[in-house]
Amino acid sequence: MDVQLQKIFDSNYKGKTLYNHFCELYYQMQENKYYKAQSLSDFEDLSNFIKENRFYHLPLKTADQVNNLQDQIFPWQEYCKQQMQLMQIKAKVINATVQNFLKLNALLNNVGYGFTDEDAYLIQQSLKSIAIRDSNIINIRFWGKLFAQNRDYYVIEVQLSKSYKEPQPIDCDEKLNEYVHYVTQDLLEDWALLPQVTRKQMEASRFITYVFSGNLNKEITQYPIFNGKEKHLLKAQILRITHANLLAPRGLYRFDDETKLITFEDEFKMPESAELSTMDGWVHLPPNILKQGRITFYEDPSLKEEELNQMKEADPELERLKSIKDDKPFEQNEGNWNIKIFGETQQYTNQEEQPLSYQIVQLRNYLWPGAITVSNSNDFISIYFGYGNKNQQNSFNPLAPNDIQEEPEDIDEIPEPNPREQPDELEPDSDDERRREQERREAELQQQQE
Amino acid sequence: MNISFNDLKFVHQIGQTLNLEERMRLQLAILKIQEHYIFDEVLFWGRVEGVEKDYYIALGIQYKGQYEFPLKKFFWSSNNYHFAELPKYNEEFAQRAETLREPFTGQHEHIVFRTDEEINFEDSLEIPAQLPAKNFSELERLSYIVQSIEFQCASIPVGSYRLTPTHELIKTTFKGVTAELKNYQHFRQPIRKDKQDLIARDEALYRPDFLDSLVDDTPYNQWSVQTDSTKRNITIRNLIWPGYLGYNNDYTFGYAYFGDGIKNSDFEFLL
Repeated sequence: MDVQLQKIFDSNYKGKTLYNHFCELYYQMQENKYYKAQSLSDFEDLSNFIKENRFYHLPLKTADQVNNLQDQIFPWQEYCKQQMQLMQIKAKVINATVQNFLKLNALLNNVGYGFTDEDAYLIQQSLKSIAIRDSNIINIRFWGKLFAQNRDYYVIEVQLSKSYKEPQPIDCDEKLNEYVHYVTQDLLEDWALLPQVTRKQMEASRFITYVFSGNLNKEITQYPIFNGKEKHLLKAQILRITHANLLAPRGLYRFDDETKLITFEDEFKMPESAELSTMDGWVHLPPNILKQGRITFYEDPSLKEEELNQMKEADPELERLKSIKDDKPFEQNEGNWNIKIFGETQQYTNQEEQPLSYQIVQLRNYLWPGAITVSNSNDFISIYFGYGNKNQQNSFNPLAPNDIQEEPEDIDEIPEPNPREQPDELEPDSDDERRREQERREAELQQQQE
Repeated sequence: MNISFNDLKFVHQIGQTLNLEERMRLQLAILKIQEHYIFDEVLFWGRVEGVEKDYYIALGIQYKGQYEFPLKKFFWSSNNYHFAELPKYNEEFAQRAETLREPFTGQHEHIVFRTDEEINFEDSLEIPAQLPAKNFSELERLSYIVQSIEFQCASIPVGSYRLTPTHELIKTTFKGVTAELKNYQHFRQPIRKDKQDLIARDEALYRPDFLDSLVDDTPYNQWSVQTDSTKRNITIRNLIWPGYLGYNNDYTFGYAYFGDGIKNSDFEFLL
């Protein structure tokens, strides 16, 4: 005990021992006329005071230490550089329709979703930087945020005038890959292009429920087997969500049956807020994805016509620009969409007797929780925040693997014939055999003679 | 989360937020709770979304005078922003409520389960001492869900609270932690034997990690720790209750729940 106490007293702090400090403290408490130390709280105070005022010098630094000081990297340097770079992106003209995300984010915040203003600004700069990079881009918008186990994904959706022709198997639909997506995990870092999906991958992704890990190149080990890495599954889920949830107000687009193209309507007036707040006012913009994994039905030439017809009936193509009212209702609800009104619900009429309304409508999809569309009388935005899975009402039942094949039945075994008597001479089958038999018999006879 | 709502920027990580009207009215309503109850802290706990209306939950914590762990009391309100105490739930049906997948409707009297007992008063000569159990309403479901989430998820960083010699919890000056799961612990009375022993031996007074650590939670992958670009704002999310968010940076810490109140029971299959 004494040894320990001695050690503590001799411990050095900036050249002074504890023992010395105590002595000093005791002396000050007793003798100092100006600092009237009276109670326990003064003890601490006085101790600090002494430490500060006695010049407890540190020993001089060696040359190495002085030089190393310059290598100390400011910990936020990387962050500052990247952020500055991103904020300074500018171009003379950008020939693309870039979504005004900064303004639309304020709309999202009003209904309880969205990003902070700073993040929205960074996203807007990112949209610009991608639009500058590629001159083929017609349309670019922020798609949403997909949460993952380790790092989340931010996704941007782009429509090109000339799509990249990656070689694909014959049964894939080119139209399915019309939307192209970029992802990143950190807004200040570079964006990666997601690969195109094949029909088989699309079909398989319908049966998989998976929480993304955050690593784009991770192998997916799920049943049924998905042939692809996480980036393919990510793209497939993004496409499914887009094709189910991207909405437009009725009357904004027009579908031309002959050219099969969607174009803007000539005279568009945003529908009244009363209409926008019901399901009548909205239509699906992209086409529906079939169960087969394509947009138009694929007629496999190897299958028979009856089979094809059966498959076609089970998987019908739906008309474009369909109203969301006709969506399959979710459980006991009246449709698939939940509509809520936010903001000022007061009805105004302006001078020309036209109704004015500042209310904000929020549509939420039941089947895909996290997919929302928000609109006021001037703008609308569709966005997704979630894990990328459907809303399963029943417990997850993993698909049972195929039945194990049974072994074939064993053939009855018959013992090898070992008769006591030599069997009768058989007629040889062909001339060659006859000749061989004769030669064999002559050889036997010769042996017997010898 | 503190009702000054300075920390809302962390909640934006999961894409959720409170709009201006909600913030203003919640501040007033939460302050009003202190008119009738005395708490050391009254915090905003979270928002449970329903089909027609949403529920807002507030939490009052009393540290002083509580042995072992502070007292927590929950308050709920619907869109009328008038907080009332969250009632107790019926134990028998509560377990079934955990695995329900239907969304909350927003009507707190909505009946979730019907109890099957019917006592016929006419036949029996004795009048039973207890009234027949009421049907399990949505409010009780809300109560059970909120307390489950609090028990299973609520977490604080290591070093934020300390145990005083009289076994009260106090907040300490918090300097921030690195973004690893081992730096977080549950904000509840410890149930793990080794932590309970620590407290019984009074060793917990000198250690910052005297509550159940998050690392010991099974299944292990349910926690997701992420940072933003600055690497200093850390959010910690739970995958079994999607919508729960714990956050901290060098200055503050806290947690909140913004979601639909449905547990992700299939979690084990999803990785």
